[in-house]
Amino acid sequence: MLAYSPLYLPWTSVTLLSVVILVLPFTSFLLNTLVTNRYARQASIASCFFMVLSSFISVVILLDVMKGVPHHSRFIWFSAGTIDFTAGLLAGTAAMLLTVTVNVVSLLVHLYSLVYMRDDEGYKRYYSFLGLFTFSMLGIVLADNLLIIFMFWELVGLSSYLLIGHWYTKEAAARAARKAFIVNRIGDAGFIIGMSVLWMQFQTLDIEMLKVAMGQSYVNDGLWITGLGHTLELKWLTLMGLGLFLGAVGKSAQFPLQVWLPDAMEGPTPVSALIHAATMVAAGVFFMGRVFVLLNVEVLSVIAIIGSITAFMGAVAALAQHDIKKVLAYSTISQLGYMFIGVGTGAMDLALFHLFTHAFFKAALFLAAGSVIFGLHELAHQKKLSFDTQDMRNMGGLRSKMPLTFAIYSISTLALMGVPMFSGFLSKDALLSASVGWAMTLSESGMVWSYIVPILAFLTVALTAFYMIRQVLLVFFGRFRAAEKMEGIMESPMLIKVPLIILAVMSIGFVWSLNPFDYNTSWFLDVISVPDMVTPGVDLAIKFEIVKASGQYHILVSVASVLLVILGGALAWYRFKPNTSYLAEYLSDKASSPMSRLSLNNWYLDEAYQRVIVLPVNLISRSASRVETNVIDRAVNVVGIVNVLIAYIIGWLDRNIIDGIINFSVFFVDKVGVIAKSFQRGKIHGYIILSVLCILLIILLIL
Amino acid sequence: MIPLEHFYFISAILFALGLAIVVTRRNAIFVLMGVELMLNAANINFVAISHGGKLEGQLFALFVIVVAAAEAAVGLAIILAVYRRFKTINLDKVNEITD
Amino acid sequence: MTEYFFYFFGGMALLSAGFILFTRHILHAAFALVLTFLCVTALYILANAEFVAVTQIMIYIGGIIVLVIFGVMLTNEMSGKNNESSAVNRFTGGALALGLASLLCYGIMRMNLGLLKEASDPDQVQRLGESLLTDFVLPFEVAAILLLMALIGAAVIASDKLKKDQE
Repeated sequence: MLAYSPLYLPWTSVTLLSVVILVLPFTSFLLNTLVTNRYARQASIASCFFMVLSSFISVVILLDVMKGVPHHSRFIWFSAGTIDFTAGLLAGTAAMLLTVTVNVVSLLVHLYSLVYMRDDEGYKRYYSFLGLFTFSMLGIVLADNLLIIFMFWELVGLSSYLLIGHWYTKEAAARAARKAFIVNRIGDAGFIIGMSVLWMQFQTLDIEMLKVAMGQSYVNDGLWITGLGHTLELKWLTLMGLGLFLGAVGKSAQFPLQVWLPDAMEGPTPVSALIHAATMVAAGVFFMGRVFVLLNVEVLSVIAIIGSITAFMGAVAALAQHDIKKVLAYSTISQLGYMFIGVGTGAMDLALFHLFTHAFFKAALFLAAGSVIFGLHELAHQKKLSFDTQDMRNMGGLRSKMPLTFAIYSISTLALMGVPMFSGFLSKDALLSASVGWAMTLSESGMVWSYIVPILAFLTVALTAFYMIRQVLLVFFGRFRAAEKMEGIMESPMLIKVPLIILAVMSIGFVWSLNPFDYNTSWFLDVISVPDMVTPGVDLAIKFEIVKASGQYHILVSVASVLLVILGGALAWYRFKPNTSYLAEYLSDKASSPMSRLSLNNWYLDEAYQRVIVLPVNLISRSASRVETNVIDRAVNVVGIVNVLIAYIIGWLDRNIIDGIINFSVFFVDKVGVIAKSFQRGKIHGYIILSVLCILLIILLIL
Repeated sequence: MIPLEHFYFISAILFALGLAIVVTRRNAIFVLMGVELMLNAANINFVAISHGGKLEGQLFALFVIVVAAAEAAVGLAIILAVYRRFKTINLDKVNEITD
Repeated sequence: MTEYFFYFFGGMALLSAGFILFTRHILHAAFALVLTFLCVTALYILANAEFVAVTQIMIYIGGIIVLVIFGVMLTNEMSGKNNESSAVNRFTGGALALGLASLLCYGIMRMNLGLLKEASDPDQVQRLGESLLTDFVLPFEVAAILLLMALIGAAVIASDKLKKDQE
């Protein structure tokens, strides 16, 4: 065991309160699982109160933590041999910020679902899984140990699976849930590899200890040596980082594992808001933040490139979607790509910043979309109409009937596009600056390829503006297309409106920064700082150069991004504004160019996986099964037949020889017994005669 | 004088007769009589051998008589008990071993 | 003179014993047994064992025979047909007895014993009594205890109480 600072760190009031935060959603889960269906409604309302309490406590802790040092409590979980395994709870600023976000969004989703899921058969199940999900998500955020994080990580995967498959009778939902689960498993394999390497090298998985141990380790002649002299080849350091990143890729839907997220939209819309916009997908980014200091330069470059590719691909895929939620799903993938650009370029704080702003405006978008779907669903229910309530081709003109939803949708859209005055502008602008600074600094040392990251990031800005404007136009402008008249469409009830308003307020730029044009004035970046890398071989000087370069080009970047937003938005307006011929063609499915098909099918990634992975695997398994039936089974059969034959021979021997011997001895003993019995049948005379005979014999002997 | 062998011959034949009675008779009382005969035959031997001032043979004969008395008493008591139980003293029927 | 007595009584003893062997009537057998015992007593006297002879008369004829007759009567062997008891194992029994007798006689003949010595010991009975209470006092006392036990045992076994207890 390494000689670190004390293994045991006592509990403080803050960490104990954090435990309460963890316990509350779990209680909600238990409550909703255990009550009968009759009290499902009451239980769900109780859950909302639990979440209110949990949110309140987390805000209190956040205010405390923001003032000073993080609170860390740790105890020895178990000891195996000389190794003490610890578990604990770390309440730092970033963790508490995310805790607040998770709690607040979860609370809003709880409230929203009171209406949205009102008539659902699985109402009780839905609420209990919401509780489970919130609990596991908070576990990831608060745990101080990679293994504990992994456990909650898996729980998140499980509850996400359960929630995506909420309408499990629907084939598509069941399939989507399975897909999400399996794709996440691929990432988890990477997570495990990363953990294994760390354990092998440091014999601990506690993140704080790992930071110390990593700082003590050094690289010498291609070997990675710990402070205690344990040695591995340097490639293991990279492998560890890539493994952990793969875990994040799975959870945060990055290229090439992003395919599960659009399908996950089969779940209820509030779930999409909670899991697939604000929290679960953010877990990957947050996790990268936790292990950020353990990564080396190679891994960071990979992260930046993967992030930029994902951002671009997601944005392109969002261009031609018909489903209102799918657009948002691809947009989420794209925005997560931005966050990974932030991670990869070393601007961890900016990545977290974008994570938080995005969590709120994307949740608002999803819930607003849910509000639209809910309204159309009610309409279809009343008028006995049957149409796809999520297909944007059936919408249009809803602006007049759902003004509040429209307003919130617009605000969130502007935030997502990165229009100044809104939160998205601050964080996206910051990330773009960071990427430019990073590329500039790297290209100075000859790595020109690094420009691909800012280029893709800027392209994505334009694309984002395009697909968002397109969506707003399709949904809220023009003529209502599902029915002749729009009568019957109602604005959603209060319980839906309140969460929407709260989330929309969080999307305004002022909330995050007093000067909504400059991210440097944001309070958020004051409380979050980028931790210094402790990985051996990382030159800290580069970091300052990157920051300096980003500062230099900041104004230029802002102007460029605004221009790109206007360009993308204008193009969308030109194409999809009401009463254009293109719109008519689009609605009648005539405008399907190869490009739009590519976008609609998400770069044919699913098909590619089908061809490249699923088909070969099927082929291999089929041929394996053929080998199995034809070769192995036959061999087994032959062995079996030989065995049976031998058994017959042995049986014959057994019956006729061994049994024969036994039977003969039994027969012999029986006969002897019969003879002996004849002397012993209770006839006194017989006994006397026998004994006299013996006496006679004795006399004969004597004589 | 009487040759000593003649005592022994009489004793031997008497013993053989007693044995014959024991072996051939079914009646338990007959069997008991046979046993007494055999004891008497043995006694003749003891008495005959203690001639010439020796007394051990006679003493042995006395003890045999005593034991024979005891044996007769117990034997007859047993016969009575058997009779009460089986209502017969036929030794062939006094048999609980099922064959 | 004494030789004739000896052969007479000896022959009588054998004859009466043979009668017991062949008679079917149990009371006849009992009386024949008395005769046999008397003849044997005579043989004892001829062998100069007066005390043993007296004891024989007192115990056998006075005790055992009475017991036997009681036994015969108590077991209804007198009145019922069972008092005529048939023989079994005639051949085997005869062969055995013959074989035993011939073997014993053969052995006796091979022994080459002397004649019976004349007895002229007037205080023989006194010596007998003395040795019984000196050299043979332990067997004497053991015999006394044996008799006591036989008495009690016989009484217990023959009593009706036992039967009741068993049931």
